[in-house]
Amino acid sequence: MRKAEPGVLGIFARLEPLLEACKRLRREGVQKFQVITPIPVEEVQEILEKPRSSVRLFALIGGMLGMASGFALTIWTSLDIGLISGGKPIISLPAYVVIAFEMTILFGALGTVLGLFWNIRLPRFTLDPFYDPKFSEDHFGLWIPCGALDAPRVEASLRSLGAEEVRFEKG
Amino acid sequence: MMAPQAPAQPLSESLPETRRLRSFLWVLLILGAAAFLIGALGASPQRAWQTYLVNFLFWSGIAQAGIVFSAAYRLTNAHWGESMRRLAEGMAGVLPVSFVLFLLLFFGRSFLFPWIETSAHGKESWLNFPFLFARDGISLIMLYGVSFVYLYYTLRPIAGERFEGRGTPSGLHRFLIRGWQGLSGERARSERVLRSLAVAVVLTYAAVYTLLAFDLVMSLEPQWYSTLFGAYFFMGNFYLGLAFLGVTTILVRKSARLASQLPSRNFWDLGKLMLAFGMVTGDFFFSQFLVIWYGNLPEEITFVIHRTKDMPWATLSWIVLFGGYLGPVLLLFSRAVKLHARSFVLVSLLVLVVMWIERYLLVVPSLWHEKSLPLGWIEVLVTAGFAGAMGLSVLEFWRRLPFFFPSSGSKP
Repeated sequence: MRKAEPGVLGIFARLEPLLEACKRLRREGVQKFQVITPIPVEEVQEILEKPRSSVRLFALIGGMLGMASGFALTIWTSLDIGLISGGKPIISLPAYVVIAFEMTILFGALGTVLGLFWNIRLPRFTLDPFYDPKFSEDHFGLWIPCGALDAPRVEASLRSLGAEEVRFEKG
Repeated sequence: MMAPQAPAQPLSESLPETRRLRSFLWVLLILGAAAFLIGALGASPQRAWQTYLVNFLFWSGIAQAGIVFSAAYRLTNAHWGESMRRLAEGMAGVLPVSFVLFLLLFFGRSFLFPWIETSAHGKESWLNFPFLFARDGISLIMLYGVSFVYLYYTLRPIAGERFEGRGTPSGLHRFLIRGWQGLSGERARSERVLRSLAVAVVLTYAAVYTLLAFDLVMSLEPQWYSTLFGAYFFMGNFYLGLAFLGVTTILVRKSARLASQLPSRNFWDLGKLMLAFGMVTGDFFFSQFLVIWYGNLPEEITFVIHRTKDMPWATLSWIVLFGGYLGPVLLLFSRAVKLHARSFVLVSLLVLVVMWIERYLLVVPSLWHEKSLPLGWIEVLVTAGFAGAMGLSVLEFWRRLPFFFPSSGSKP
């Protein structure tokens, strides 16, 4: 189990109240809360003003590495064998462009997948204490860490915003 | 009896003032025509006619790419840039002029087709001038015909909406809405007809431009052939058409104050298309290059060696490789470049200029056999003349059909 923290969990059946709740939390200046959704929801990204994902950087670096290694592989093997074929120079770049291009795509794609896993923090072998199987089906969750003293107020406002179920987790 | 006519709004209200632009374009046109005549009748007929051919291919291609853009837009059920689509369709105003320009090629035939004087051995049945001129002429009539029928169905519901219950329009407008059946029915009908016509436009475009590429470019060096060349030619043409659309959109947006109809996310989307077609064109180039380079057959490789190893062409080839394919593709990866009018217009201009050089490089080295680079005042002025003719035709289109212009009435 991860290090547990006390907090209030709201479970929403529909997206709109969840977005409304997120907006309200932002307005009230609450920095630390977590949204759990069964599907990717772009609006949440916008409301939380997350910085742009770094996956693009992984893709770019992967692609450049791929291109470099494509040229390196072809040039090195040609030099190593040293056979003149088809009357072409030993290092004949036009032919190597094809390999370099394929390697760019391959490494770019692998870089993207790696970046994706890095960013969504997979693989992960433990679940958050507040995790509910419903979050992998058709419900949205909003986890707000707070102490037992604040809990009743937070619970009430989540209910008023349309949470289907609200509960306090002692952690 | 008709009800008393409602006071008709002046139709041209939505059009920006273009008098100064018109006179500027007329000056370009007259200068270009004069330079061409001086060149063709005296100074250097070879240079005049080869530049004429390059510019005919370049500007007709842009005009046709406008309609093809619209067809592709409809075929993909797009909704991202209605105003931009209308601007692209307006380029069809050039097509009649382009056909006349094609007919004029007749007088330059002996400067353009080397196989007229020394016959292309074994290819005479295909490469003879009467047959070439007839098949290309008929193909262009077909292509421009389909394009205009397509344009008719695009304009019809909008014209009808504009004139419904406002008395009888005259001339072109009457032709556009003859047999009007009521707005909702007409809209559905146009939608249905355009769906099939869009396919016809795209297919005819691919076929006819392949033929033009083979006849008006490849045959200039009759021993050379490359099967993919047709596809390369029409893809590159679409690419440069998109660049031209980018430049036009930004100019119109600024001069006609249409920032709300042409929001910057339109450039973003157009930029993505340009990126894709830049890649496709570059890829088609490379697919031909690799095979020809590897095979190293004399009848194929001469075309490439002449353009990539011999001066003065080699420099131009490098400019095209970096300025036309690699450079724009790398620049257009960036979201910011596509999203800002200023940077986007610069990239579009770069593509436009370099793709002109590319068309020049496809045509001229086949015809010019001296050491010097034939790129001077004749070429510049003739190109300017074509630009003037193109601009005037497009303005004439909008002057006759002002209700179609993207203005406050139309959705972005």
